[in-house]
Amino acid sequence: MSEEFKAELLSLLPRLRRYALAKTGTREQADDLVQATCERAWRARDQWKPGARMDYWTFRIMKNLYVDEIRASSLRGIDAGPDALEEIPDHQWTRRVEGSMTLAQVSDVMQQLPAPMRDVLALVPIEGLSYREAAEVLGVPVGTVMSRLARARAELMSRLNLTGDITDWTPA
Amino acid sequence: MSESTFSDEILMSYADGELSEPTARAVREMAMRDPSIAGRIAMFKASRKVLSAAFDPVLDQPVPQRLYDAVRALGRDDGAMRRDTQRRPPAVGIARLRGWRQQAMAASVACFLGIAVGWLLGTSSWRQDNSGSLATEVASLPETLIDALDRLPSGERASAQLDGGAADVLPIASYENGGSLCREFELSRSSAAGSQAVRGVVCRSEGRWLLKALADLTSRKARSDEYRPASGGEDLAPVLGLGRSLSQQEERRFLANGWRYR
Repeated sequence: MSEEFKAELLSLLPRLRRYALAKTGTREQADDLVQATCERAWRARDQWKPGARMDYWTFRIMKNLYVDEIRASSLRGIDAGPDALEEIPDHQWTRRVEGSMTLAQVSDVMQQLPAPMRDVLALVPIEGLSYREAAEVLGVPVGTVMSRLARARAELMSRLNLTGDITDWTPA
Repeated sequence: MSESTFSDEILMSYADGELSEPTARAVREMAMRDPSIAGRIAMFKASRKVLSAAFDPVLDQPVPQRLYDAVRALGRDDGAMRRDTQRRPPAVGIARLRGWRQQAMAASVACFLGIAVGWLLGTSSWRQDNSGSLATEVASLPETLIDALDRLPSGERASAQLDGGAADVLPIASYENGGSLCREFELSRSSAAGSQAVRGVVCRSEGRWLLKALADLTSRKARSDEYRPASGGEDLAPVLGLGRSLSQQEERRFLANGWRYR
């Protein structure tokens, strides 16, 4: 059991790093967070049922750890609540998205957003979870995920000064 | 905000394909009539693309050795490991230093794909008892295995010395797909403890072999029996999109030039 557990944990490292980077914004902090998450997951391994999704389980551990860490060290200062971004400016989204933004650009803007918004961005558009799955990981209602996510994405695009091409609105 | 009768949440759900059909149809019809709604949907779709395009490459970056080591060491000191513990410098030679990032990444990718492929092939999953497992040794792509993959033509068997003892390497085929080269191979080892076999795929990346997939073929049932090679119809190539297999002649060219695609 424990070797199987470890093998699966190892296999998750790339995704844990991506998730942690989306949360923390720097590689150093991201990798520290990943390591701490793996250690906590290991200590809690009896709570994990073989066959269950270890990715979601470790995401949840990481999310809780990160919250603890902010509380303990005020590492990232005081995060504004999600309501701080209630007002989303109106945009017409008529300009074409020019190329893709670099990781640094996107990551910088994400760090300007409150942590709950970063969480939903990290889980849904980046990690590819459904709204429901993200709600389970975060322990909040689906409606909360949706409202945070809609505001976070609009805010992100606005701060990146990116506007959508109007022709690309149909489902892929 | 637009004058839409649909909330941003609904428009975003539409962009993400999370709406059920009656509502989706209503949104689609509204978007065709109202450019501001279409634009809002486009913005949500673009945001997903921007985020995944920025963050997806992180998955392909090598996992730092310290993380890899930290996870492997879990439980060894019974929780004595702390996150601030400095990692020992690796006691390795130049050849291994050159490859450690590659190995770290390869191994983690391999575990992931190994599980997926093992499942896809319906052979067997990772052994419960992984200690001394051939799959674990192969996952770190030892130099001896890399050597064999560099120089052995497909269908030709050779012995490679691994940490857990000698094993038989058998390249099965080589593939080319849009300038990317891959090799499929099998490794087997018989010992008093039983027989083990793995099948893997390595692909050329920046002048090195990276492990792309690894399946443990040692079935639990057969573990104490003699190992029997997997029968046909369990081709990894289509599953992994490896492309077309190289002819003997083409392969010879790559064996001679160190697997450089020109």
